[in-house]
Amino acid sequence: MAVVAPRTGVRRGNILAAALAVSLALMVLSPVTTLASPARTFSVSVRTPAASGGLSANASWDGTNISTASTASSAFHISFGGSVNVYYSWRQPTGLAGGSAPWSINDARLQIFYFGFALGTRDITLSAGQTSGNISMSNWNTGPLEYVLEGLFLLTASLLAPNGTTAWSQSFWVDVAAAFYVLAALPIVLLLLGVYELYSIATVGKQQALKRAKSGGGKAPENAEPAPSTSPPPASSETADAPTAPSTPPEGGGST
Amino acid sequence: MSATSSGVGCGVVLGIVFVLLAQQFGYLALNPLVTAFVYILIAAVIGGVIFGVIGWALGRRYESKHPELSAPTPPA
Repeated sequence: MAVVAPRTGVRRGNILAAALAVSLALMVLSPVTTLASPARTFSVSVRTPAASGGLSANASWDGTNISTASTASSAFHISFGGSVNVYYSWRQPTGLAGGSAPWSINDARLQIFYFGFALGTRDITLSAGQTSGNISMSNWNTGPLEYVLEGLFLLTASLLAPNGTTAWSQSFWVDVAAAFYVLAALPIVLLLLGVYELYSIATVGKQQALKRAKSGGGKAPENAEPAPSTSPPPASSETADAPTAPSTPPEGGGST
Repeated sequence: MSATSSGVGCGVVLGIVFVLLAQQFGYLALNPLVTAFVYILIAAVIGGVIFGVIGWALGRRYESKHPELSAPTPPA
C-alpha cells in the first residue's frame, strides 16, 4: 500500500517551491533595477533635419528645445492627464546656395512611436505654405493612450511641405506617466500574467505528477483535483449487496 | 508536457513580460522595431533556458518527495 504524503507536507512543499521560483525569478528579473541607470544613458541617434533644402528649424516642448531630449536619459516627462505646448519655427538659412528653391512649409506634425509604429499623429496645417514662420501646437497630450500605455516613447516633430515632403524632422524622448504610475491597462495585464506564470512554475512538479497520473503512470496527488475516471462504473453486484429496505405492507391491508 | 517544457514555456512568457514591463516603467526604450525584437528575443531565450532548468529541478524535487506519484502502478 502506497504511503500518501500528508496534506500539510504537500502544501509546505508547494510553498517552498513557490518561494524558490519567486526568489529565482527576482534574481533573474533584478536587472530591472540596475537597468535604470545604463538604459537612461544609452545614446540614441537623432534624426536631424532632413535638410535637403537647408531649412533651419527647431521645435520647443513647453519652451525647451526638443534637441535637449535626444536621449532616453534626458526624456521629457508628461504626467497623467497633462498636456504640453509644442512650438515650431522655421526660416530659410542665410547664404543659401543658389539654385535650390526655398522650402515652403504648411504642416507641423508630431508623432508618437511604439515598436517603430506611429501610435498617434497630430497635425497643424496652414492654409498656404510659408518659407518662414511658426506654428503652435497647443495642449498636446497622449489622449486615450495614457489609459493603455506608459513609459518611454520616441516622438518625432516634423515640418512638411505642401506636397507632403518632410522638410525637417527631429526625434526626441518622452516619459509618459500613468495614473499612480502603474494604472495603465498594459502594465496591469503584464503584472497579472507574470504572477500567473510564476504560480505555474511554482506548481510545475505537481502538475507534472497530475498529468502522469492521468496518463496512468502513477497515483494522483491526494489534494489534487481528481482526474476524470476511466474505470467502469461500479458493478451492479455492489448495489445488489446493499441491504434493501423492507417492503412495508400496505396500510390497512389487514383483511378481516 | 513535462516539467521542463512547462518551465521553458513559462520562462519565454516571463522574458517577454519582463521586457515589456521594463519599457512600461521607463527603464527600456523599445521604439526602433529591430531593437525591440532583439530585446524580446534575447529575454525570451534567457527566460526559457533559466526557467526550463527551474522547472526541471522542481519536477525532480517533487518526484523525489512524492515517489509514489511517479512510480508505475503494479499490474493487477
